[in-house]
Amino acid sequence: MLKSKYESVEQIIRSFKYQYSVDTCLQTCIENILLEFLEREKIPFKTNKKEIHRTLFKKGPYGQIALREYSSKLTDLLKGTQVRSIERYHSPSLIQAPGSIIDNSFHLEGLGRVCSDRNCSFPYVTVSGRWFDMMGLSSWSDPVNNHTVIILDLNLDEDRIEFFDPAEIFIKRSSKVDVIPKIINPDRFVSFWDEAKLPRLTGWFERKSDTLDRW
Amino acid sequence: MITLPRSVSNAEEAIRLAPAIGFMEYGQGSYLSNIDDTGDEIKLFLGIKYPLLIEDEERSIPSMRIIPDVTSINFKRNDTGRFGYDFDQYSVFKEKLIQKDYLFLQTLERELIRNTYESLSKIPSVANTLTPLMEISNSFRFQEKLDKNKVLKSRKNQRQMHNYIRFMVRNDLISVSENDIHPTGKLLGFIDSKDGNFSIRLMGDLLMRNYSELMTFLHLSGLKPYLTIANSYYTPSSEAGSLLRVGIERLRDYYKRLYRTSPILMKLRNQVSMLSEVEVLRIENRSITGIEEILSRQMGVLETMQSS
Repeated sequence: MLKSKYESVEQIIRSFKYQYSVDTCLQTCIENILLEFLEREKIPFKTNKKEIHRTLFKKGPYGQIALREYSSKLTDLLKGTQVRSIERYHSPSLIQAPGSIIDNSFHLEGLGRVCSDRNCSFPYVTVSGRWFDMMGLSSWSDPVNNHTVIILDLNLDEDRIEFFDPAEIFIKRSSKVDVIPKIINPDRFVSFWDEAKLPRLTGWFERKSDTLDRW
Repeated sequence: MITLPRSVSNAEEAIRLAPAIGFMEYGQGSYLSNIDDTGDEIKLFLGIKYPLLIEDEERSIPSMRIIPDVTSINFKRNDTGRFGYDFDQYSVFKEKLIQKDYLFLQTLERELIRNTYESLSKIPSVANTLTPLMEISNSFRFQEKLDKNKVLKSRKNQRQMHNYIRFMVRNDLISVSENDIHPTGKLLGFIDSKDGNFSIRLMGDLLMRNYSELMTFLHLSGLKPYLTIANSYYTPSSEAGSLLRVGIERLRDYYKRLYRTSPILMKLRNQVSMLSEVEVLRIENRSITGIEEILSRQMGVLETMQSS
């Protein structure tokens, strides 16, 4: 169920960028979904694109970007747009955060809702480093080496999830796999999603719906 | 924003929480590298792991960069019996990471010197930089002591000469009493030794044992470029786990990544050629490759550092 503007996944990917260095998957995903969202919904936006790029890619050593750091900076940039950045995680194994057990749980259905809701950007998710095994890059397949991909479409009836991998450009260069997958089985996906450092971490941008035009 | 618990009840919970704190505060690549549990205090060390793609003229080799124990999260038991915790701010962490990385680089350089000093000291410009040391040492082949003032006056840059003398005293090669310089037993042993070239042995000994001092104290401009170039080749090769085959421009890119400055191509070509003459690097069909033996030693060092 693609967002109404699009007919195919390829149409979405056309505007997406690939990673320019191997350690910037999270930033690239965030920039892609944010710009696509602002453009698609024609949200008036004061800060220019370059500013967003600079904020996200203001590199710490080795492309490190802390979730807390980027989130607060982006909130500042997005002031006055009704758009906010949201992160959710759900972990059966991690200690539950006090008072927010239900809030924090996030399942495939929730992911599907974000994917199809017009008031949301496409979601990014973190997956375990085992993801690279699937792509034929076993050297990167370290359990702590998280990767981030964008989920474009989720169809549980047909058992398929379509995704965008920003590292594809590197995978193509070095992979031992002939055809690089662009679709994954939901159960397999959940196994990668669960194993990531922050299990089932999902992030997206959302427009507050309580605007005047609702009335 | 995701909220994390402010305290945990035991070490097991702390260990489960640590990667989440690392992720939120320091980013994706952080991982739990070591645990120090003393009962009332638990220190969890975080390091950094991030992917690399090392390319040469023929292949792209995926690899991982690992820097363990950059910072720690400290859990302390409080009055209620639970463990509260504190950790470094992102900016502090960043500083520590840069420092640790610099330490890595220095260790690799030092090991490279240890493995290649005999070859390096055969390069004329490297030998030249150590000339003052040789002048003082070789004087003792002809006389028992030297006049310190005369030694200082032998060069225009007296301060530098002074540094050389201080350096030799520190390394137990000479002793200074009032205005006289005397050789020590160690230096005389070097001079009298029958096996091998005395100057190379002396230089090798100095380079190997006092590398960082030579670099900072004596500003050995003649040695530095050769060492950094050799290191720019062997560090990516060790990360890739095999000898790379690179063109001169790619070597310059490797150099840039490690040292953040870009050498002049013209000079680089010459320096690489000199290195290949003394068998630290090799030039085959216009591309640069290395020596298997040096690589395997550097790889060993890298492995030890990454697992510590």
